[in-house]
Amino acid sequence: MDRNDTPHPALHINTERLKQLQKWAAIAPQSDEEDRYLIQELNNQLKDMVIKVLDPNLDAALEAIEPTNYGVDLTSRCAPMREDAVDSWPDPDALLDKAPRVKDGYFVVPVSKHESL
Amino acid sequence: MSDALWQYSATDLREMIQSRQVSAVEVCEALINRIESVEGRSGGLVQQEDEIDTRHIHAFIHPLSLESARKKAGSIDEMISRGDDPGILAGIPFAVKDIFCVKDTRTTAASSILKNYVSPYTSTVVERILAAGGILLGKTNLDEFVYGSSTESSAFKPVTRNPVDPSRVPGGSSGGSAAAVAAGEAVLSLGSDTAGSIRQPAAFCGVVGLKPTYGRVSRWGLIAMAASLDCVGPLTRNVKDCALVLQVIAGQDSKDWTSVTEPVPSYPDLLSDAAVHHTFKGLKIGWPTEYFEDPELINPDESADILRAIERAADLYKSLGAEIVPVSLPHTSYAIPAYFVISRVELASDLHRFDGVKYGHRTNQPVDDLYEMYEATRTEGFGVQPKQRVLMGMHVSSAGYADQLYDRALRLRALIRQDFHRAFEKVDLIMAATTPTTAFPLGGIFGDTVQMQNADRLTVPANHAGVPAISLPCGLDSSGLPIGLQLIGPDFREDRLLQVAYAFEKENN
Repeated sequence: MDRNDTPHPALHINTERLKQLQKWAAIAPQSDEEDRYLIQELNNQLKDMVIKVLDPNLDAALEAIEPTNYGVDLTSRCAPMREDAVDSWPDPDALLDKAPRVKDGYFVVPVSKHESL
Repeated sequence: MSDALWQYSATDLREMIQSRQVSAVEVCEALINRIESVEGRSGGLVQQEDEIDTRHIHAFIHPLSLESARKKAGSIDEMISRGDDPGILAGIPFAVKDIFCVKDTRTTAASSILKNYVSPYTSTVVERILAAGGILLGKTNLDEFVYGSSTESSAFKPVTRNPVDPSRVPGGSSGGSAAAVAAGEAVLSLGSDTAGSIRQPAAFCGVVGLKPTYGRVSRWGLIAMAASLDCVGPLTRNVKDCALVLQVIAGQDSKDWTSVTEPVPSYPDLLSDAAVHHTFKGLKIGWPTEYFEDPELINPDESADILRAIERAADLYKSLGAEIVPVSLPHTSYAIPAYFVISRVELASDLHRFDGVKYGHRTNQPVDDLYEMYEATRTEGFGVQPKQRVLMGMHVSSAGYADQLYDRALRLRALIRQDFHRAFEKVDLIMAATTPTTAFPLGGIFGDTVQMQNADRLTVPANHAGVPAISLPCGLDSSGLPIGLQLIGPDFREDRLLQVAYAFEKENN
């Protein structure tokens, strides 16, 4: 909840929002039953868990600390990154062999529709 | 004697094999016989459970690599006969969670989308165990893409059952790895721990499970869930075995930049009586009040047996000379919410790679364009639990919400890390329960995503902080189910965790 006690817009998912998320995730709706389950669970997660990340009691402490990408500070503990150079896989055919469709050493995919360039 | 070999620890078997008291082939056959008697059907797609399945463990997800195991055991025996060094895990049969790539084996992450994926390379940790003479028996079941705490969300059935009580879950997501060790189907196993996925199943099944410090063990070849939190670690029958496996798998790996260059101590050597006795001189063990008193984390009625067991462990440590010191980790109740946001954002990104182009399942439906192919492939390939997690990841990372939610979650992680840092200025390590409950019944909470996520509330803080944590058996509840004692240490102090865990195990026996 924000300071005016109005629900934060991030804390609710309706049918329209679910459709938008499914589109972004490239996951199609399967059935009304599955969509109902997803909406129920996603909203439970928002109101029981995500809401606590927005707890205004945390504001001062969060502003006073920098975000971390990892718990452990890795900067002084890791080997230098290797040179950013092409490092070919020894057996490209073994990799292509994993692909559902290949032709002449390339992955084959359906045409991508372009409405504009 | 041969038939009983499945009951021995890796430490004992190692000595017996190298002194030629038993052969690696005999050990391997004993494990195979054990698997044949308790495993039942291993995991497969679209398998309905029969009544007979309820009496078996189903720890493995694939037909096992038993012929290659027998062959390798034979070659270990030949090496020993020739006087060659066969490695420190020579002849020890092990299993790996099916989230690790192993060359020329199916690697599915328990998902239909990878049902036919055969890996072209081997993960660093598996490579290191194989190089040390370990014998791979097979890949174990898990929650689909490790998304769960019970192993029930696997696309591969029959579901894995807890060897202590087959009507209950083995925990998760490394449930198959824990069950295999507890049931004697493998001497040791590998798991991964993003929010507690090694420690919670270890606690539920009554075995030892270690989440090392982030960066201590290479993640190369591990299918990522949340790359900033994922850790690889062992599940074993006792603490000495845990030290042995960590010795083999720890250390820098040029293929994983986040693996650190910190030297690797000789962990098994540090478990001598003298070394452990020395560690207890002046040892201060933190007692985090939130883990025992915060109503958001623990229900004293529901967890009464567990709390009593941890108090008994504290008494034992006091009798060994340690001082128990109250400490505060004030942001612990925010650990699950912060984890929830960070992990969903990372996994939604990680799962974009599964699109039917380079590997894995691809739809056979007629499609008009590339997006339709992606969509049909992913819809067919993912189970409902990965779907809901990806959708939430898209939601919390979308424009307008990411700054408020993701950025705050990353700062919360820093606060949780700071809590531990301050506590470790006062104490050498921290003790708590691994889980707020013992193993729950199969089907008990599956489908309730909030309850399932909350099962990790005592383990996930260590993942945020990156610090090492171990779970070891510390008694049974009134239903006879195992209870886990969790010890948490400062960065890269796995040596101290293992010593203090070993002292408990030795005295408690």
